Amino acid sequence: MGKRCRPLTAPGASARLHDLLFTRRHGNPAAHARAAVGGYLNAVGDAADDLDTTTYLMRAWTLARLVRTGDLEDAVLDELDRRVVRMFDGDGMKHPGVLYPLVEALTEPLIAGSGRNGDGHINEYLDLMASAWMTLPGSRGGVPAHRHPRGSRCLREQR
Amino acid sequence: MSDPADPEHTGQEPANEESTDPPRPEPYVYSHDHIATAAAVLDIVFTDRLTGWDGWGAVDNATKDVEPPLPAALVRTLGQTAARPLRLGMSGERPGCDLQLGGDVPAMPLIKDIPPDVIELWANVADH
Repeated sequence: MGKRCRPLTAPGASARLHDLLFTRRHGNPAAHARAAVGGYLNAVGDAADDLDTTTYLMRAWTLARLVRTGDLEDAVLDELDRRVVRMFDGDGMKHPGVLYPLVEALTEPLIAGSGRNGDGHINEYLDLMASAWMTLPGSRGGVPAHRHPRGSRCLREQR
Repeated sequence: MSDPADPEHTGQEPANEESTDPPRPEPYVYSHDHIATAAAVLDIVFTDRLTGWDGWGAVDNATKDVEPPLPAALVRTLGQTAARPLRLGMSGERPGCDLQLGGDVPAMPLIKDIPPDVIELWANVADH
């Protein structure tokens, strides 16, 4: 393991270091947050959805909101949208710990500066989730998520 | 007026100055020579998407066969860097994910208490 001149190659390593530096408020915290978000997104890449990918994406989303940067949040939400659609097309409802946090983030009000279109596909997602939930054995037939103004609270109660 | 905290005033024995605490580990001292090594180790351990305490083992595995052995303080610092857990919001909490600030175990100090030499290592490796 000798000395070398190449930069970090693992995006997860870059994400972790910039996240730590942001949390410590070292130097330019907003720049560290942006670099960390990019690192987390790259670390997830095209990997299959699991709890670790959800954790990285949710950390990226949290950082984007902490620095209140609309375009950064948009980039993360675009990735969440892509993954949620893929999970609904597959067996995502069998993995609520992986799926629900992403949908929950998509139900939150957008921060200022976002270029996204309001609720996007969120009502569609909530309808799908509510339909699936209502068919579960033992379901009490509670208030479907899509009846809630934003759905988020209802989703949290279901997790 | 005598000091109420003075042992002579209270009649108590002065505290034993010999502590039974385990010896404190040698503090990390930054060196520019550590940048490339630290970057190589972190590249290896973050090939997987680390989110928790398994970062300690990943750093140990990545450094155990390195010759000459890396300074213990550097290995410990890299372990603290890789093993700080990410925690997803739980049911009933606001959605999100926190990087744990630490402080609950001695091996993982609060981020605000991380010494400047470690911060310098983080910053230089991140910009490497």
